[in-house]
Amino acid sequence: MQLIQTGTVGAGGAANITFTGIPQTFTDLLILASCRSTFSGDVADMIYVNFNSAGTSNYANQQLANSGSFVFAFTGTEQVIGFTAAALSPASTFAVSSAYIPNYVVSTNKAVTIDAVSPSTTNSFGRMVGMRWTNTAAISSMVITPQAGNFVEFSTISLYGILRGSGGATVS
Amino acid sequence: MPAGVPAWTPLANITLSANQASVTFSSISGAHRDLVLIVRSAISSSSNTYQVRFNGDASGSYNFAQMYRQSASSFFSNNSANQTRILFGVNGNTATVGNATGRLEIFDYATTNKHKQVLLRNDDQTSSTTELTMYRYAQTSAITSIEIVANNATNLVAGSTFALYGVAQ
Repeated sequence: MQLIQTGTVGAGGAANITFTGIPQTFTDLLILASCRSTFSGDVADMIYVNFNSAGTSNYANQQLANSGSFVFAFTGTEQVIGFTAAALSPASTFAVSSAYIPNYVVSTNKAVTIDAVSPSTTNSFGRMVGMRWTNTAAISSMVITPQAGNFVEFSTISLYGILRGSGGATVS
Repeated sequence: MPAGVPAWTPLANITLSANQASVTFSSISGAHRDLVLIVRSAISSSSNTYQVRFNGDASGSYNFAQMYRQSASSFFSNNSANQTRILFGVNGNTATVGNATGRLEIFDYATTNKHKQVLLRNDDQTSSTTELTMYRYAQTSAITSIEIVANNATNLVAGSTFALYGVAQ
């Protein structure tokens, strides 16, 4: 696993964190996010991705979630890639997300596994998400935005590349 | 994490050029702390699952607890003991490569004084399933091989990829 790039939001906040010129030399990608947004309507919110600036169509997701002691599931078409703490969460609280994208340069659809948690005082949440981008293009860029509002200072997203290889086992 | 410092060491990988019934990783190096297996696959007859066994062990040594969803109104938790294999894809798996992904994290795989804990995440867009399962493999022997088999005499589809990594000590 190798760090490709980290985006950190400075003073004043930012509307997005963008990765461009993603090397095509890895096998898989891993996105680790620690984010908080200015959205004032809830304790947490989704983070969206726009792969290759190709627009917001052709995404589908299924989610299993909890909020406090309440568990629920739903299906959507949002281009979710993670979650952010929002303005109603305790101060200095950032949600953490992990998104794994295998075979990001292969010419098949892209399936993403996402796990996230956002701690709060009375309404912490966790999410398990499977997301699919129905597009066979290799992923070369990402624009990551909160569903509403802006990222606040200290929000950080890191992009890692993982390279498949051999030499430590035999496979057939 | 500093750039260029490998936390994951690639051990082996395979992309299937034709349908086949199973994939086996063998002679796994014991030099790492944990293993991560990434599965991006499809099954020739959907609504089937994958079976995983360590060291060819089909005894009742696999115990699990899980939570998963099958639809927006259908989600469950479940647990059972003494299973003969690890099973993932609770609601069947897609027949299209690229619509599903699975990840198994196998902790302390090379130790000889611990049972092995496995954290499994599997998502399948076709069946609208997402699952998290925790397994305890109740054997203290080191894991030196991993077999992935398509259930019910079905096949792993051409284009499926399987990649094994060692996590640094």
